Amino acid sequence: MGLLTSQSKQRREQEMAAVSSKLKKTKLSFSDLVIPIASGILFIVLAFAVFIPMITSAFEYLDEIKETNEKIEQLEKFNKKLDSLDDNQLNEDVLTARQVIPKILLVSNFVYYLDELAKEKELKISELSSADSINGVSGPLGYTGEYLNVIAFLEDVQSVSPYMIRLENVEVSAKKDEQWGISLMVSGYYLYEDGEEPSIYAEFQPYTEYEDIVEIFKRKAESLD
Amino acid sequence: MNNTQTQNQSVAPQQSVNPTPAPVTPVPASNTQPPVSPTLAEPQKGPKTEGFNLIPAMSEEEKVKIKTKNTLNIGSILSIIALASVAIGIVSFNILSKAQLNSKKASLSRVEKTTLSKMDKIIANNAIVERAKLYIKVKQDSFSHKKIIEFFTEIATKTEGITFRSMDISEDLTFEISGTGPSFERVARLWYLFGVHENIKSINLKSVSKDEFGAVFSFEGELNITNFSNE
Repeated sequence: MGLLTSQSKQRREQEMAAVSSKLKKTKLSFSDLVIPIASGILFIVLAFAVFIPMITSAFEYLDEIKETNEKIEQLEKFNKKLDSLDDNQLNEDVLTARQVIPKILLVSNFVYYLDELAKEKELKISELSSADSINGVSGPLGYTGEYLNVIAFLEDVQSVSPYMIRLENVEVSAKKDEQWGISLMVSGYYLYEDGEEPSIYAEFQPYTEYEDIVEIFKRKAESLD
Repeated sequence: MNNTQTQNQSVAPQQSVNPTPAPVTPVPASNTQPPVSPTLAEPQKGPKTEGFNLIPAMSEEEKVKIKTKNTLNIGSILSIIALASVAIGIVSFNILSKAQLNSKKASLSRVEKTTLSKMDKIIANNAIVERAKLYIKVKQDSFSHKKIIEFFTEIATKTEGITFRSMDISEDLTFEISGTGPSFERVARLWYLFGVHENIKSINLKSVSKDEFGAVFSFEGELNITNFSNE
């Protein structure tokens, strides 16, 4: 009976040792945390080294896509507007406009035109000079003649002239023998074109919006021919 | 996952242990060796022999510990999966964005090329528009000098004997006129007519005198552009 008790006690101790060993194995140890901690650290490192720059650049790409879409839309509208303009008509109109407001207005041409106009009205020259100014040619002008001719000259210079002309400081005064004199400052305009290609992204305005002005140019150009 | 399963399998025999001690059975006299009951370390093989089940039942604390360990292992796997998913997601997002941008840029390039092929048309259009704008700028405040001179003459004809000697018209629509009249009364009437007319904003008698031929006058004032503006 004593032997039996001793053996069973020994066996029980062995069992207890086995159970204890098993329980020890199931306890949370540092090795169990290695993977999550390593994953976390790796994630943080990757976040700063790779993820954040990649996300930032991805958002930059999205912004660029948005800008590119806007540009495409703008250019498509631009092309539509351009296509709506008739090529032949445009070429005619640009020639007309360049006649009225030329790329360059030579002083000699301008003075010659004014003097010829005065001669048509039988006016005598008293003062005539012109010089280049900003986008124009300007100078004092003086003529004498009959009152009606002086007024007609004034009208023609201002309204009928093929060039775009601005009159300033007009003075009409009576002279001897029912002659009248006219003195004024006259400016003729031109538009210098530097030949640079315009930006396709600049705001586009079709010239057809200025149809009335183009008609005026046409009338003026006809009088020049 | 395999790890989890393994854990569960290894735990199962423990959980299946009978919490109550097995009843003591009499040992046969022919067999002197006591029967060896199965342990966790030695899985039971063959038919279950009689013996004592001395493995104590697991306490609640021990069960929680095992469960915690299982959970933590799943957490490790999940953390790796999450890391991989985030990495794949971000890289994919970046690559797709870049690809989309490249595609859009290619489209833009095509449209730009089409537009640039129409550059002559653009230059011609702009040339007209710039001239039209210049024309409007120059002409917007311009007025007809002829109309003004005719207006002065018309008022003068309403007053007998008035003759103008000079008419000076400035760009700011101020004017100065001088002339002669038969008497002060006529000059005064002219002054009145100018003063009440809608085309005149203001008028002052600058000077007036009388000589052997009559009254000599000089007015200065400002015109109203409304009726004199160029079309």
